[in-house]
Amino acid sequence: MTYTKPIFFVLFLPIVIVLYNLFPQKHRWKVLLLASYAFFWSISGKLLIYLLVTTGLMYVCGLWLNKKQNERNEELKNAEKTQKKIIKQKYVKKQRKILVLNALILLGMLIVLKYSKFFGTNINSLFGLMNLPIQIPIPHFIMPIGISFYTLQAISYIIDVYKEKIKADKNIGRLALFISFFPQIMEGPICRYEETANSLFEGKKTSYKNLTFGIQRILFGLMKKTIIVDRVNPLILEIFNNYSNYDGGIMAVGMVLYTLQLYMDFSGVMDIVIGTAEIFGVKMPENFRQPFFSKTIAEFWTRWHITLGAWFRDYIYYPVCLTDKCKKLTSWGRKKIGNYYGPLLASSIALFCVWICNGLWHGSAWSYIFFGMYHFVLILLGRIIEPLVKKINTKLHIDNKKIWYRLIQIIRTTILVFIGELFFRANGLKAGLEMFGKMITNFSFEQIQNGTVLNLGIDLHDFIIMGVMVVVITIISLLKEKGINIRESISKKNVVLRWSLYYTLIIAIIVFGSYGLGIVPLDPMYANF
Amino acid sequence: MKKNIIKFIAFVLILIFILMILSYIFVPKNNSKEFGMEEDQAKGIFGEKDNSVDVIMYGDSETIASTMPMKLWEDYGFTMHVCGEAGQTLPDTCRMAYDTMKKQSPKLVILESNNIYNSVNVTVPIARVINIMFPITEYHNRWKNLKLKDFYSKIEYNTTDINKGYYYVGRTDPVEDNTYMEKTEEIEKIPFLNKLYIKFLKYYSEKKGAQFAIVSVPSKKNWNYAKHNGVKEFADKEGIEFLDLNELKDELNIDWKTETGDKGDHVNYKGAVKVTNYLGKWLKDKKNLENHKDDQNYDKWNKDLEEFKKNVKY
Repeated sequence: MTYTKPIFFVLFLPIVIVLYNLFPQKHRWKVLLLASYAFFWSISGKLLIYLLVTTGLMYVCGLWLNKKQNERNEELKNAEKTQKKIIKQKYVKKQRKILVLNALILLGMLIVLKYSKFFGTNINSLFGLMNLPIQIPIPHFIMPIGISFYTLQAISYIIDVYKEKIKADKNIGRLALFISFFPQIMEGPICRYEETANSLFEGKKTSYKNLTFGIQRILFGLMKKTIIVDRVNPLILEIFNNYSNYDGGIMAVGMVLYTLQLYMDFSGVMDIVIGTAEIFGVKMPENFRQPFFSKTIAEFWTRWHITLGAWFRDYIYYPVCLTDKCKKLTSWGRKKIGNYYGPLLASSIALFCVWICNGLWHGSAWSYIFFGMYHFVLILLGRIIEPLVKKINTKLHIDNKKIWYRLIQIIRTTILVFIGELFFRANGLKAGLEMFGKMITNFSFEQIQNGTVLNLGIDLHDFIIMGVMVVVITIISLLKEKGINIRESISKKNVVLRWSLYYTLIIAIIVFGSYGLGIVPLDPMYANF
Repeated sequence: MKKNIIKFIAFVLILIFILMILSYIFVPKNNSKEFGMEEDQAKGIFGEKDNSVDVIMYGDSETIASTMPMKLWEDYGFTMHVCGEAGQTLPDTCRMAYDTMKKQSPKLVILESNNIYNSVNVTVPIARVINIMFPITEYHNRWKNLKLKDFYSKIEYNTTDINKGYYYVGRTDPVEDNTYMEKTEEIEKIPFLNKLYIKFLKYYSEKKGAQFAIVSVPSKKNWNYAKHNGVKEFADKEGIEFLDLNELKDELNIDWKTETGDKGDHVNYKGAVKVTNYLGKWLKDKKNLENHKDDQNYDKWNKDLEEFKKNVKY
């Protein structure tokens, strides 16, 4: 079962909604927890044990940290001023040990399950290169669904307790629901404890507004999924699996359409996830904010997979920047190379850590590490040349607020994103480099003009309907970019207009959706990361 | 609250009305491929005269590749139509049975056994019911080829298939090893839901006045003795006649070096002739079917046979 399968909409979700509302308020969280475990079980079966272990760890370590904090506070109450610093340091050390232990176990599970094959294969290759007659056995583990997502949620909870941003939760049920809530378990968004835990536990009755708004959002996500994602899939498979048969023009088509597919899939699933949570009165954080209107790569990553970017920012970037060594490097840098480039030294180290983690988080392959490093270099370059660009603009009297300037920035950023996604999707780094090479050395419109592109699994009608969808979504994105809350505006319109829009949405999915005989729907793409 | 419930009901009713109109537009107006009918060979039965087909056989690709209704007509004068489809699941079979037996009252309904072991998602039957209620959900892809006529033409299913559902496999792709169906006591269990579908098929066939039987056509790749035992056990319990042509391999004598088109998955036309010969004899001996060859109402079958023999040489 996944969010995009009929069984989810036809059976699972309606049953959960009905049961949730039939139960008294104080027991509703139990319905959600049981439903979440049932959902997890339906995909990963006995691997549910990993989720339970993670929940248990969060609970125990959170309370342990809390206990140490209380002990510290007691000692501080009775301590003299001169002693306070020593007491604080003593407890920081104790808490750090708990934190490290927790992180080691959680990350250990993730690393063993997700990366042992990658590391094992590379170590064996290295032994081979060194002519050493050693080969380590490579274990093959099955990963529980969503481990990359819920592990980050668990770590953020413990760090927030450690930093005393939140109090450790004494209710294991609330923690269990926070980590396992079924709409978010497969693909996030990666929530923070203070964002969702209480509203999940609260058990608000499903209101008419929440139900209708939730269904609207789910339908919008389904429209993206059925009209674009599943439709374009045969073409993507053909181009990326048999790229040697095609010219650079087709590579460009594959690159653009894969990026479109990934965006529609991930943002579509997020619409379904956020809409589902809305039905239960839970407001989930948004994961997308019109990413293709970004003017720089750095901005793009504040608009695409927002919760992952924010997680890396808060739990890797800032902590690395704030280490003693980085602080010293910044002070040294300020003296030697000035106030702009000086701090850039330390932040580029933090940025490197973020992007190596980001690449590896997406998968255990060199192409993902390349993907991470590609964005690291682009963001760093952007920062390095920023003063120079400003100078040039001032000299040439170019106003960077003009629409044409912003448009050029957006187009440049989008092309850079397309190239990154080409490497992201390619079947390995070598294939990615060859495909990119074809676009440079063998670019031609021939296979587009002679109709080859229309024989790769989708026809002209499919291209037209996808084009219409892209236009519709671009208009919606433009309105959102202008700060217009489309759903609220629609809800204030008269019933005829409102219902006409809903019927159009439903009919569009039924008529133009790619489903039925001979069509294999694609499982949510980010669930594999 | 009451107001919201009324609004919700009104919304759903209007949606149903819209879907009914769209279904009328999108449903193929004829049962041929050029009108947008999917699996048009199987659906050739819709063009046959009412109550003119003696035997209907359902199942997946094993069915359509192995049985030649036209040869049965030629040899015995029985009318048979294969209503199998590649990848036909049991819910699809039930749907097809429901559709085909609206205008046909066969004497015998046969389910080929291969799809008995294909497990089926629980949402599939719901999807099939939705397909029946709103055909647009099945024919939605016709938006690419809709013509003005689709908006006003009447539905007329009058196209027949000269192969009567048989799919000709001419190529040979051999399997070197002829052995299969090694005897075992093992029993491969039939999925629970699948048992319910078969029970429904039996019930529905009998309600329409037909006998119901399960036949297993030869497939070296897909069939084995554990599956045979599973179907046999179920058939005995439910009082269903079960004929396993795989078990009769020595009698049937399919040569997997020359009589399969895809390494033992399906028989080719040479294998189909052997299967049809055996089935014909079985039908004649056990089912007491009428020979319609001299009946003027069946003239079209003689004409179809001439066409069939031009295309399929055996």
